[in-house]
Amino acid sequence: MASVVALVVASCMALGQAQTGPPTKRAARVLMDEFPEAVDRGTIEWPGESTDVPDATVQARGGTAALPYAPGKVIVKFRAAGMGGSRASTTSRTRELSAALGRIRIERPSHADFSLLHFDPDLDPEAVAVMLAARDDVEYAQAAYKVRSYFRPNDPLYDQQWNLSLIGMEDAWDINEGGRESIIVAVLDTGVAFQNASYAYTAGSFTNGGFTYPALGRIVVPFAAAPDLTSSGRFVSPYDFIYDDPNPVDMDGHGTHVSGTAGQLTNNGVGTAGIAFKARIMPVKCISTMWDDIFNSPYVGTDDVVARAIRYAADNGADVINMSLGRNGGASAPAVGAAMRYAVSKGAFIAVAGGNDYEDGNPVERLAEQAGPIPGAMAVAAVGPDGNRAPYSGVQSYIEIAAPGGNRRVSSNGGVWQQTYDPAAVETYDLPPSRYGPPRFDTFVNISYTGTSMATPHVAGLAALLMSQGITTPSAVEAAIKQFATDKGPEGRDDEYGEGLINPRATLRGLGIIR
Amino acid sequence: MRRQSRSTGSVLGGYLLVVAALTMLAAPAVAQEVPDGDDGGDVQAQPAKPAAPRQPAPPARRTPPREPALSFQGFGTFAYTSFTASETFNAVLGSSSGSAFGGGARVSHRSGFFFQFDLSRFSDTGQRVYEYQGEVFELGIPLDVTVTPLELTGGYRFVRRARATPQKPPARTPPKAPTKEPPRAGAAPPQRPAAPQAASTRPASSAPRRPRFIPYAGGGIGFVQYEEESPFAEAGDAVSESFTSYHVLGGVDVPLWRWLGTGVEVNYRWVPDALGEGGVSKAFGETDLGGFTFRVRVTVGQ
Repeated sequence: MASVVALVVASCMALGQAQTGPPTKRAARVLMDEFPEAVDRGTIEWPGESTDVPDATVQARGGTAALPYAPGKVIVKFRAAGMGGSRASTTSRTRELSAALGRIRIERPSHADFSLLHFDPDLDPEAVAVMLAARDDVEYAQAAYKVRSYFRPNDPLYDQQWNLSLIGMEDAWDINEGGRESIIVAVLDTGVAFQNASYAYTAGSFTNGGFTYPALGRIVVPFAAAPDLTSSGRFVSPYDFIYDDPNPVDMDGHGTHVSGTAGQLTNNGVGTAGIAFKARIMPVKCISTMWDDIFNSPYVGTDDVVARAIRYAADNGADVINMSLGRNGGASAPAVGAAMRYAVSKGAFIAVAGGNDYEDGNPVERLAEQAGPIPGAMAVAAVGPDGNRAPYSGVQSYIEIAAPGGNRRVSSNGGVWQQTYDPAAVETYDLPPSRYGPPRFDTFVNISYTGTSMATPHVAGLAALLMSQGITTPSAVEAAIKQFATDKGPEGRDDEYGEGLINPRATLRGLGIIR
Repeated sequence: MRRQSRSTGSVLGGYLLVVAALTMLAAPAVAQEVPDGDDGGDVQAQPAKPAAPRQPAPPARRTPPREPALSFQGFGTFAYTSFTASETFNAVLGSSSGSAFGGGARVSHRSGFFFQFDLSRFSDTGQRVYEYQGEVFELGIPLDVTVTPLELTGGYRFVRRARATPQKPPARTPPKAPTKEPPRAGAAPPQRPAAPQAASTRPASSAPRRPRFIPYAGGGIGFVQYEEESPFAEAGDAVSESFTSYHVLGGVDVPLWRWLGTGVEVNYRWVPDALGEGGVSKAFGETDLGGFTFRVRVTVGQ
């Protein structure tokens, strides 16, 4: 599963070879009266990549965001003279402290029986507090530890989401708690598990992995909305460019997983957290998967379909477009590039996966290649839990930014967790033909995937937060993400990380006069 | 910030009205304070009168009070500052100017030279922003900015001392042509018209007359403490730095009463290389934290 996108796209492009027998027309999908209930089967670990190197260090919080106290001051209570402590006068005490700490200022705030000692912000407040506490004239001294409203999601799997802590999302959520409903994130993908429905399809026979699978004939397939993604009014303007209808149901799980990282419901006590969890999601299906091929969908995910999907999203009010998709064969994709420029001109920021095939010859990702030169569209590389480039992540001149995509080689928990379909209920085409059967798209698990597909919605989610914070133009969003990124690899921009790893807190906090 | 700017204007206008009124009221008071006797500055010379045959001896002339070599003043200031880094401050605070309060002290020498220090404080709250290609995006995160300049100034006060202006002798009545009549017996000999009184022709006293306006100018060096704080800060995010500044100033003191005065002052301050290393000032390429300051002040002391 390391290259879900590649698999999806490859399966689309290999449709002609994969399907045997006469092409079957897709049966009309019928909205059934009774909707199946979603089934949550808990958490499974996707075996995907190697887990040979299990001892990676996962940072609790990103960079300086880990500091738990306010810089440049301590809380100190001085003993009153003559009460057992030093009788040094305030003046001499100030002189002594100045000699030790440089320029200081002692403030007596209102409603307090203590003082605040201000000093050089570069000094360690905890060390200063220890030094002060050793004085006779000090009753107590402590760093000014933060007790701010500290948003930490209560989603039970949040502790496993190293990807969110790696980029300091808790600090970012303190500034902007999940964006706003007015912000729309379009997920151009395999669809999204956004509705409870059942549809009828005709499944023809096909070959896969050397096996020939029998035709299932006309079957009714149940779909359910992902419980941890769905809320009232969450989904807007859905559209399916593979079946050309307004029901972009996910027949793979990839789009649902990606949507979760961008905007999974958060702090709801269920499953995992997402970045812009208050934003709304526009499901736009523009890449087809194995079941779409088996059901002989009328369209497959080609450049023209993707280009139309981009324009559709822009025309229907998307503020952010997530494209965890790509192709690395053939010539360039000018139609997609033109659609991207159109979307940016309409005010939509675009995040595009940078590609997963570095170890397979590092080919050019043709869609990411288009995003590179467009201000307002960013090609995204992936890093693992250690913050370093994931080995699969493409190294190219168009890479602009990096985000957590996962790397199981450095940690047993190296993937990016989200809720999506239970593969066991979906990927029956990978079972021997004797066990092959109709899929169910109403059974959910929390599962971790890796890939630049997983990295991309981190950038899209951040863009949604930035737009809700006030940076409203795509080019400015891109510039801000780049400006505040944590530089990785060689100093400055490079082909592995672009400008570096996204830094949501710093980006959302923006600029003061001097800093 | 914008509200402050508007209220600053009205406060300033009110202040000027009060100062004008006080100045008008003060003028007679000044005149009344002129030492009686020989400070003839405001005293109209009287026409000479014919000397009486027995003029009483003129009163003993008082020695004019000598101005002390040094005088001391303390003052409080209300200032309105317009920052040179106008785009930077406008982006963050919504205005590139604002009010400040402060105070200081001045030591003046009789010669007119003076030395003063002045401490003021500008403080305002704006919001953090992001700038891209000249467009400013407001992020809604409060940003407290405090600028505290300490200025040391040397300068000169152009004290205009009243000097004697020779006064016109009173229009003399043309002496009557001497009569040819022989003096009558027992009559006093004809007198010459009395010379104008000495008081009306000698220089006026050198004692300083309290002037209505005392212009001054100066320049100096200072230090500007700059602080910048906003929520969600981590180590290294808060700014508390001091910079060296240079300034020139000019103004006018307006004495009101013996110990009380007011005045206005214009100050231009340079604080080079204080900005521009980061933040939105870097985006705008603005490096100077200085600017023009217009101050009004209330002075206590001589």
